[in-house]
Amino acid sequence: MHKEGNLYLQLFGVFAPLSLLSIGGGQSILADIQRQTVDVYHWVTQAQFVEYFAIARAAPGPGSLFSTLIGYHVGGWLGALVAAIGLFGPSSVLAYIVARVWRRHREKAWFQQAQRALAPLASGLILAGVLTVLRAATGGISIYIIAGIATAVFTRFEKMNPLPLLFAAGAIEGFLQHAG
Amino acid sequence: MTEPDPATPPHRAEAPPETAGSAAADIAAADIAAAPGAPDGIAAPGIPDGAASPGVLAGAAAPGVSHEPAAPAARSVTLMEIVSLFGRIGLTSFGGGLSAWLYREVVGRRQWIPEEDFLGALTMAQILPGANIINLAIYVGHRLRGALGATLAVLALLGPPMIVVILVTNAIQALPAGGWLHDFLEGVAASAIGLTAAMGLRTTRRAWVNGPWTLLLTIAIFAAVGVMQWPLIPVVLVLGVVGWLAARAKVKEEVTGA
Repeated sequence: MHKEGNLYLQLFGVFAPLSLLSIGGGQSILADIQRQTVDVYHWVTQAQFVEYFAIARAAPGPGSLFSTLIGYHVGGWLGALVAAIGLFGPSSVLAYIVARVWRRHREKAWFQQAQRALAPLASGLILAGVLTVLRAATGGISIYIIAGIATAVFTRFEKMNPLPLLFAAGAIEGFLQHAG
Repeated sequence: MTEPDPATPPHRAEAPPETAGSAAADIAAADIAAAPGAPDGIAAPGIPDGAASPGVLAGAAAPGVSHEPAAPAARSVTLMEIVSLFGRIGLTSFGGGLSAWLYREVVGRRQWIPEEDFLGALTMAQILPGANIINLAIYVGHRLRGALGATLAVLALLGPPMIVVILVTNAIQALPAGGWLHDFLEGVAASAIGLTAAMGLRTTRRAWVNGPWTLLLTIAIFAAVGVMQWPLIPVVLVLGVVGWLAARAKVKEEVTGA
């Protein structure tokens, strides 16, 4: 079913290099994860890949946990763990180093200015991410309507617990898709 | 000016009444931290029984005494609080958008970290490789409690949902009519987009105090990365320099104006 060699080493070998290439979040390496896990190693089928991606995105936790689903699928719990360490380990070490350097300069004037400059960039990137996720959504017009209403509600009631609304939206979408 | 004084009242001390009810269960399930309505500086009533830990006392008694990653809060955040918060975010953040969840808790509700600080780290987290939320968790954990804080934040954030997502997948594949659960999750994910969008709109509005250039910058990067889908890093580099120049001018203006 798979190529020769130790499965866990292969899992690590696929995900660890991609960890350092996943610039701008998980989206950028998606295509290559697909190529390697579906086409090269045949760990999952294309349909399974898409399904795992959708599940990981909707379930709690980071969407990039879908790599652990691939690891689990092919190598059980240990496979899941190895895939997670591979995908999250190298980038986390780098982030830690940057965080240390970042914090060391926090009292300096240029740093305060830089921080103030980065805030509006963060806002723009957050909104750009919204657009990207909307584009990738598989559902119909109801997805846009739900997202729009949720935006209005969360903007108006910024301290509310999001969970009731999230579950209500899930129930409505489930109902709509099965009633129609 | 940007490093907030613990004595400064939180910018959103006036909790809207409608939140008190809906947030009650949430807070009960969580630990202590920001009791609704209690001003930030007065942390004492909310401190749990375990408050006798040395970290808490040191943080309160001697703020800023070589306590490297000291939080701006009146007391330092305990490791248990970090584990509890990140574990909870990891397990409740249905539909993704974890940065928005973290922002709500760390900047909004508990006020462990000032907004500009958080957003600066968020931009860095986006530029660096790796999932944004994990990079952000490393920053927040490190800022609050150093290396151990960063490690625990990541483990608490990833471990529990990793188990859950595997169990959910098994459940979906075991169900004969798995379609319903799939559509439910789609709806959850769609409304979670709203959580992220609301965060983007809110931080855009807040940045306005620094001048209209902040809005121009936000629109420019949204257009470039979101609409045009240009590569992130060159766009951030160019607009980052533009923003830095604008921020510098603004700081100068404040100095001469005062």
